[in-house]
Amino acid sequence: MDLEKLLRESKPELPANISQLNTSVLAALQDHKATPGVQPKPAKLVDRFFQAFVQYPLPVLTASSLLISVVLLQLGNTFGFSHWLIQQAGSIVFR
Amino acid sequence: MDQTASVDALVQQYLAGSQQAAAELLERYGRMAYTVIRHLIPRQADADDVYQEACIKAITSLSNLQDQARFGGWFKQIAIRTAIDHRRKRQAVHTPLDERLHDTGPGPELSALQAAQCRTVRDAVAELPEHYRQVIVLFYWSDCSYQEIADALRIPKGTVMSRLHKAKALLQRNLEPTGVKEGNALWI
Repeated sequence: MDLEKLLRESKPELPANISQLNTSVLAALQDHKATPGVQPKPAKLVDRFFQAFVQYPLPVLTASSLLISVVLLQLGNTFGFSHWLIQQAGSIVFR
Repeated sequence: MDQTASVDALVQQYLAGSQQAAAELLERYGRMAYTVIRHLIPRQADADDVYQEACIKAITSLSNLQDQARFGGWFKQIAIRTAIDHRRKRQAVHTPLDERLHDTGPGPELSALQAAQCRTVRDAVAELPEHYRQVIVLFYWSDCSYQEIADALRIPKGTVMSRLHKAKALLQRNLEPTGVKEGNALWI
């Protein structure tokens, strides 16, 4: 078996619409020229939250509620929740 | 755009701001780069993305190219590296069955038996471990020289030759049970 010949005979012919791809490349190059070195900015946290909320409202609401509960519980653990709440109320009333 | 302009002249024109020069460079060398990429990345949509990425990398870093007449070889290297990086990112050790090359098949001059043989050989190549598959594809299907492969894969030329040797031995072993033979009497 002449493997080399077999391999060369088995070379796949791969059609491609190179012109169309090249058009996209040239358009991207134009953009690159207009704003050289500019990297796309990562989305802000608030935007990401909003996008996630629009896409998956129920899981996001649940996760947010849990997170807020955990934070409140943690505050309660650290300061004694009622003590902290009274302090906050007092600071508002006697300001 | 002057279609007879030399490559280094086109590179100079692009660097001077001519978008047409970039179009001409892609027109001349795009198919070669795409073929190399497509052989390394069988899934067409991925290959298209990698091709565009490689083109942008090559064109935007033209100012780094010292020997501008060597644009073709340089572009080929960028295409190979971009394709290999893409595969690494995907952590594809083996090409899954659905990722095998779907080409237009053999021309009408090839018999059904030959077409079947080609498919068997391509499948056997697709089954090879990644580092063997790369050298086989680049050497036999993308017409790269040992040196070009060595430069693109950043390995010594001797390693390329030894990988090719081992890859062929493995291929031969895998193809023997299928009864694939050279010539028209293909199947035992």
